[in-house]
Amino acid sequence: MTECAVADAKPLAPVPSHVPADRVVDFDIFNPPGIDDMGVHEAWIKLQQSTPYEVVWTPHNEGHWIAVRGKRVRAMYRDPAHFSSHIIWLPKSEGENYGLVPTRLDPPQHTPFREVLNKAIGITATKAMEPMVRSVAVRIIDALAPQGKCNFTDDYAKQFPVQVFLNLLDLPHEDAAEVKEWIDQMTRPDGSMSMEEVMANVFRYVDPIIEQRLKTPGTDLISIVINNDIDGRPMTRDEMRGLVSLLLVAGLDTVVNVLSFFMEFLARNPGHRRQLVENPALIRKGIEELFRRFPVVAEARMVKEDTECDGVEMKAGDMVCVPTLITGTDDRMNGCPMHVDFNRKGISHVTFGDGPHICAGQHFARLEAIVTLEEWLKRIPEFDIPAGEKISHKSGIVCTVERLPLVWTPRA
Amino acid sequence: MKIIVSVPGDGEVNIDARNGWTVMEAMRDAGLPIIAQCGGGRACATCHIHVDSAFFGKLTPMEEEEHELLESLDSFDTAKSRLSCQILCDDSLDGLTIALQPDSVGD
Ligand code: HEM
Ligand code: FES
Repeated sequence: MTECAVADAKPLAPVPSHVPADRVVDFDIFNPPGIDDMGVHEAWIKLQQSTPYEVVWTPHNEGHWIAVRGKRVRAMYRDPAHFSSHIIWLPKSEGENYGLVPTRLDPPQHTPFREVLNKAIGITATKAMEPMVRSVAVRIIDALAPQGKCNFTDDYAKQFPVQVFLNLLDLPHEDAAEVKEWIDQMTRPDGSMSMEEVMANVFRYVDPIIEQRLKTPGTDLISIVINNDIDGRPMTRDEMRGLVSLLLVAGLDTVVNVLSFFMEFLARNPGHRRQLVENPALIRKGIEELFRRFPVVAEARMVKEDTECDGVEMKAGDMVCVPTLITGTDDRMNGCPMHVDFNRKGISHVTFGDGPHICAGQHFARLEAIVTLEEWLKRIPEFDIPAGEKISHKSGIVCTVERLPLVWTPRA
Repeated sequence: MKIIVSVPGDGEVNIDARNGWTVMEAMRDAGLPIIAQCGGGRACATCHIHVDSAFFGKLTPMEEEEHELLESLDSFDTAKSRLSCQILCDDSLDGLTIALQPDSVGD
């Protein structure tokens, strides 16, 4: 409610002279038309289907372009020379204040930092984490199963990735609520705090931890990340706090919401659910189809120099939204894109971004999703959304499922 | 490390790669026309390469899911085929010689 009020109160940007009139759409990425009736993915696809163009322009959120076709979004992610990561969050004036290393760097400055992230949470590191991740999932689900009901978003999705992360970072579990609060402020600001204040809070939390891990390094993720050189020189304190905060921001809210979208789908589609219950081996393979169908991220790029794109002139400094939300579900990327087929061949999606900044935690995210479905379906194979409950989505830099009540019959 | 890639229609290209990135990512960020349409999710097989016999045996063995995907491809070759998104760059692979397969080349 308040979020809409805040968004509506903001004036629309005037249409700049280089934007052709037929490219202008009335679309607020934080509150897309139709979201309440049809859900967030359908609302974004409606925008895609409403235009013959691959790139449109909206006066909302200070005015920006939006790429509305999956292949165009992928091409922009792969072209940092024209579409810079210098600012990646909309609106631009807020995005300027957000600066976690290395998300706002372009290659080649970005590259050595990414090496550190790959080491910390890449394919190899992820394999070693599976037992810990599984034990967290089992503990939470075992506690929920006898209750016969839960609010999945609060009782599982918000607990699981935070606890996993606090384990990885070797931080106390009591910190969970605080950490979650400022991550929410970052990805779906409710107007009560400016981005600068949010970042100040994050750093106030992170700084003493870094201090301590520099003095007594452990085997935790923070120690691994901060004890690295950047192309032969030591990391600065700013770079350390950036990387550590980034791991928290990037690895929590995304997973919380992806899991909620997956479970909403499985609750509504007993046929699909039973396929996974009867053949648990299908989960590992089928997970990619769910990632394709339920992307959650809508970020941006800044035009680096004047450039032509899809028949329009873009000016240096223009912002372009590159929503992953309309990629795997684009009918030019996948046939019958809104249909979920766990045996789909040749899956095409941009759910984790693409190009040099492609999600550093993608393998870890898959692991968290696979483990959740495996352990949940083993214990709670049949579940429903209670009759009469309306499930609402919110659109933002990370899209969310507001709440997801589920009921089931506990085993005797 | 260096990777020598033969690109269909484009001859041999030498690229620099950093440890810890995947071979697919190294090709993509060097601007080669690799499709890689699932971004490294082992779900699309559009990052298919043939690996020179001098290197094939040095790679980390593939998992079942990778094998299953490769088998369905026309240019599948048991002695050469890999998904480049599953191979991590590492100094022990310096000079890695590969051929990007036509089924994985986009525009
Ligand atoms: C389902 C869950 C996830 C989704 C949908 C997702 C999506 C994304 C996307 C779209 C980007 C690209 C941002 C850009 O190009 O500007 C990204 C970057 C990133 N993600 Fe994820 N992510 C997920 C989970 C995770 C997890 C679990 C971690 C950490 C363990 C993580 C760590 C990162 C990091 C560090 C980056 C920045 C990489 C860079 O700038 O080089 N993500 N993610
Ligand atoms: S990029 Fe899709 S399988 Fe390698």
